[in-house]
Amino acid sequence: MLKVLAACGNGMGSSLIIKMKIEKVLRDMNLQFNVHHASVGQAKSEANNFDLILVSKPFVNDFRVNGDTKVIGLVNLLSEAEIREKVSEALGL
Amino acid sequence: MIAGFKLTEDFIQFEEEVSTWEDAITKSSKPLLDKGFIEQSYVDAMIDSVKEHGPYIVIAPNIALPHARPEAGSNKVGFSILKLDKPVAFSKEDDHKAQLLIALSCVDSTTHLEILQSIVTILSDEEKNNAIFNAKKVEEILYIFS
Repeated sequence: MLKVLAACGNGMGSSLIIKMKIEKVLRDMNLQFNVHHASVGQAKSEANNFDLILVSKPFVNDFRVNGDTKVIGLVNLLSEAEIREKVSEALGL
Repeated sequence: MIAGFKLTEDFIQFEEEVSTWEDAITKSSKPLLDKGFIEQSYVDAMIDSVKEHGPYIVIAPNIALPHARPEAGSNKVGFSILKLDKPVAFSKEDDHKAQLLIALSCVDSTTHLEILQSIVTILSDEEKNNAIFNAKKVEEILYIFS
């Protein structure tokens, strides 16, 4: 089970958009997953509990994570192609 | 009607250009403010949120989604649209320019989800996305979103 966290500035907008998109991408990839969403403030303290963290690119440097957790910065939150490519790369698929 | 909100012409604006991204946020949310959907404090919070966190409200090339947390002063869920002829810059990077702004009033953490979902579906549809950016009239935008 892949544990995914979508985060944004206040946890109301872009994190929800990322959640909608990543769920679709992971379903299409036939992966088992669980997606949470949060503000970056909350997300930072919980980061190491997740396999993947997806954020809008300006937030990438806010995260300090252990080796097992991957942080992905997105430019176009609406692009399933970008999400799929970056997730595949992060998971080594 | 989405989640109890009906988009009408009053919520859609066209503008040639704005001088700063702060102006863009203020202008884009003016219909929501005028109609009592949000308070001035919510407008200020949308701007502060970018100052604090950076240009993350630019969710895709050329599209920004200004919003704030409900407690900043949202009374009713809804959104308003501002389309600019000339993109406004949210940072020095090209990725952070926006020509389309959709200001979102979030009244709690869940009511706007349905609205957000339908906005995302429309913007992800290439044909509709192109139609929005090519639109010259308010009615055209209204048609795409209803």
